[in-house]
Amino acid sequence: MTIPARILLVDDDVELAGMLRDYLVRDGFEVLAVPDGESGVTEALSGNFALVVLDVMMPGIGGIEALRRIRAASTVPVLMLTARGDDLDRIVGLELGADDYVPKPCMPRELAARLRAILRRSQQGGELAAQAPLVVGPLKVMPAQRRVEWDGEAVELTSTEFNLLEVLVRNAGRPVSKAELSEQALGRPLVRFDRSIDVHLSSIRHKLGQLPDGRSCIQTVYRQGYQLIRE
Amino acid sequence: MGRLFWKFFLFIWLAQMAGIVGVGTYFWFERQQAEPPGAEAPPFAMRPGGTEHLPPPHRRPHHPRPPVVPMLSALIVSLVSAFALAWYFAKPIRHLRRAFDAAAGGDLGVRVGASMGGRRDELADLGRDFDHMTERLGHLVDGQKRLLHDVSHEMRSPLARLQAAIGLARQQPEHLDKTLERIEREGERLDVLVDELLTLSRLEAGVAGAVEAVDMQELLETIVDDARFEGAARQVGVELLAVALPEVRANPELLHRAIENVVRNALHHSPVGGVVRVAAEVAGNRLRLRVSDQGPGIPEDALDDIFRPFFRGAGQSSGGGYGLGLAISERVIAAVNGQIRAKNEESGGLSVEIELIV
Repeated sequence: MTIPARILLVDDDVELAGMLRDYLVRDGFEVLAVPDGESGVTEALSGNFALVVLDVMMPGIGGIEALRRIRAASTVPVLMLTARGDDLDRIVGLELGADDYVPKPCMPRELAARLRAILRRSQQGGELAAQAPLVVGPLKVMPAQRRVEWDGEAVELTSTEFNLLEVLVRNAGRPVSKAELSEQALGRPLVRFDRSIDVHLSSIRHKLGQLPDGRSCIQTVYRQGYQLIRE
Repeated sequence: MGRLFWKFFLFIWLAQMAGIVGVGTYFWFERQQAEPPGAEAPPFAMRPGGTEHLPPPHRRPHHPRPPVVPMLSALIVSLVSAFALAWYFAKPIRHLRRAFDAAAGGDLGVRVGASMGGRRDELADLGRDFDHMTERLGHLVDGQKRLLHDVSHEMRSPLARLQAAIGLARQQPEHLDKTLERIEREGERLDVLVDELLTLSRLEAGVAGAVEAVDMQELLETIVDDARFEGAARQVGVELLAVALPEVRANPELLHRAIENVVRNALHHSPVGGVVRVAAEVAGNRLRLRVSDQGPGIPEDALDDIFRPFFRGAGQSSGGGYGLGLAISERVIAAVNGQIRAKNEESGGLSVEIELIV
């Protein structure tokens, strides 16, 4: 470990946040815990943090609203803490651009593992700086700068969305299974009934333009996964 | 068209037919008797080669033809009107049945009032009663669902802390004492939560315990003494303004708990150095108890909500209690036909008024 990654933990349960902070600090992270959504948004937009952990259920502005405000101005990776069994929060969170979610209550070990997976993915850019841009049709992906262009116009993607798109681009013209996408882009094995990948991909489709024939460049391949069309 | 429709239809039609046939026959006989015998003659006279040797025994066949046209039209009219009547009766019942099916299938949003149109009869009343029933049931089911949702959410917080503490215990065995203490505390919290939930559900099921005479003066003094002890840590004072209060019929344990919850809530929301006032007076056959604090009060539109399970004022974190205390108080007071209300004091702060029957 070189420099500890700075994590922002937004949770109204002060005691829980304290314990998680103790755990994560010992695990090699640097953690700031704030108890409400408003200060969470302010801190997250300060640019001092590599990752934001956001509790969905908070009084005042909740996690979902906080995420909306963060995403309006920043692509900092966000991990949502959602109530176990509450699918709606999870889907809405992912649609709004959260990078991943952890159901609460969770073991701190699992939380730390997820944090590492997200950080590893978002920091890959630095290690692979020498890589050339990948171009497929009107789509141009620049792994070095972690930027995406469609028809020469920049597209704002979250860190997870970028990872997914990158995997698809590298495999352009052949279907990539969801399990593969989960392993390579989310950094974790695919869990049964997990819709995260579908939600992320639908969001990417939304942000990218359409091909001249009106189709989306990402196609669902029945029972095989997703495929980026190579003309 | 259901079985009921055809039954209505058949009975109404038969009744009408019987009526028409009866009345028709009656008039027919009347006319026959009124007609002079000579009136029958022409048919015989006109018959070619007819003679008079065909006497009365053969009269019947030569009687004028039965009134086919009126009978046919009566038949058609009665069919149509029977059909219309049967339809008029059976239609709302069919609507009701469909609504019952929907309700049985779990859709309590179904209403039949609109399909009754402008009817004002017993069937329309039945439809309105049905609507009223589904509405009540819907509210009850919603309430239960919300409670279940809230309960699972409330259990989640102590569980999340438990898991975090266990993680810490594993990671930092040198601080085991501290983390075990935390684990113990979370366990106790869960215990309190489950205990309060059980009390609440018993009260909602109408189990209010044995009722006996409770000395209110003694009860209030005990509660205030305990509250003083608890408030001393934050320099919150508790004043009792009550003398020689009468007895009240209630379950002593639950009533103690109900009033204690209100006082503790006031204590919890008092600023450091504040005062909680507990005042009681008797007016007629009512005992009026008022607990007021100097806290921030509650928004006017949330005044009734504070008696809802798991309600928490804005900006209140999950630190203090589960929001079940006042819900329990409300149900205990209601069980002895008392009333509990909350209002904001003009000087700021919340005051909760309890009215009990002496």
